[in-house]
Amino acid sequence: MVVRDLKVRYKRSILGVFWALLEPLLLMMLFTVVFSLLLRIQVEKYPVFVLCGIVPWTLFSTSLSYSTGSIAENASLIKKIYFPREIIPLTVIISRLINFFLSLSLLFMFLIIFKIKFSFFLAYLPLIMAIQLIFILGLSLFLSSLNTFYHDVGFILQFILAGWFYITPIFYPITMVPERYLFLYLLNPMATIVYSYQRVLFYGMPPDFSQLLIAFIMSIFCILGGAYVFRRLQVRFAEVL
Amino acid sequence: MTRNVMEVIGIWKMFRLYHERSNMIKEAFINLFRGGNKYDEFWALKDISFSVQRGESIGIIGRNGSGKSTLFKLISGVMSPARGEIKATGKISPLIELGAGLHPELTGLENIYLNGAIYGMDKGAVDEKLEEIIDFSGLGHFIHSPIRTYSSGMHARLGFSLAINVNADILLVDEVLAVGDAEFQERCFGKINQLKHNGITIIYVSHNLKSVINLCDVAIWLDNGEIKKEGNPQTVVKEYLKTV
Repeated sequence: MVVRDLKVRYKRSILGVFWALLEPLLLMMLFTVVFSLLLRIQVEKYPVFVLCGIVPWTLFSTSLSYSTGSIAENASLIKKIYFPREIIPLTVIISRLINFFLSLSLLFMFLIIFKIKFSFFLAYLPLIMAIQLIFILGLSLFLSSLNTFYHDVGFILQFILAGWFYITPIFYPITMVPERYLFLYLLNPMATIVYSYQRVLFYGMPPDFSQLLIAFIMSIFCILGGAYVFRRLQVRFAEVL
Repeated sequence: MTRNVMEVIGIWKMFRLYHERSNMIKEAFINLFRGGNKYDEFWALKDISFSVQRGESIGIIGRNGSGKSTLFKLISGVMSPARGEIKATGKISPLIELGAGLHPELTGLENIYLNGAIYGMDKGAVDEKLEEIIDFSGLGHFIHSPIRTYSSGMHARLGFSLAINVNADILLVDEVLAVGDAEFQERCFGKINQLKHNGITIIYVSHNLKSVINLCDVAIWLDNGEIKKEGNPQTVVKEYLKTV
């Protein structure tokens, strides 16, 4: 299923899987020109900094937007054969994850090019990724099952993702956020997650564990809620599709 | 009792017929205040019970809209009944609408693996069956072309040979054998008969009454969501024909 998703996605494009590398690269150049050169956000080695945010954010946003419609897209399957329905959004996320690892390799290349030292805090990377995946999975289960009943979910999501991008420290450093709003700001699990990526990859620091714990707890709630909603709604998938 | 591979115990299935199906959140909200959507209840199946023994072939007949397909979807687990339950032992493989899970952009071969996965087979199990599947479909070297280039007959043949080669204990066969040429249909019936001899249970839905008599040990006649008659295929078909 994962292979199918990837194959189909890149079947008719000439560059194929290289889009997984090209996309973050182009975004990196765009952001560098706009935010570093024009708006003068003061961060050293800005291209690598922004890439550290783009890569995990892309995993998050594409996973959500692709998985949201996934149940409805596979209507013909769902109406005919029984298999655990969770497989469908899960497949999307795994194929996005493979993409993520490709762009992560690009990120490591840039870390070397810009002579950023690898710290042993990189060992925390799998932990951060695990928390992010739990969060994504929970949201995907919720969105994909709800979207099967109300197609508005997909449209609303695009709007929410656009806003969510700005309240996550991707193209600006978290230090630009005023101190008194910081607590509120970090209630956004993606802010904590992206900041954690930046700390272990870019700053060579360990993640802030108390913040990460909050993000973890929220992700757990998210996956429990998502799984509950999905379970409740899936019995009627075949009827409404 | 232990020989029963499937027991259908008093199942009911209701569909809501909406006058205006609200697909928009906005409407759902409005309806919330108005006290719910307006809909009629339609009972597609009313208190259906029967049991199927291992190796038995059951034919289900009835006019359009009598609930055959709904019963099918309940048995395959795609839908769940409002009341009652279906107990089944063993693996159920549905042969509904051949080639439902085939992806047009992928080649026949890739689709075999993909579909195998959906039917719950791992790669090793598909590898074992691969030759048989390709042989039976008669697609030859077309197996390496994307499915979108196939004719509808080729499409159906691939779908059939896939479903039939899944190691199922209970095979659900819907009105699917109408596709393909006479020769292929002949082979399909041959294969189904062979499976029957191997002790596989078959549940067969068809308007082709002759094939029901030929293939099945028991026939069930559904009418308006209820079992009108059950028993020897010949007598059930005879009774049914009187009403059409």
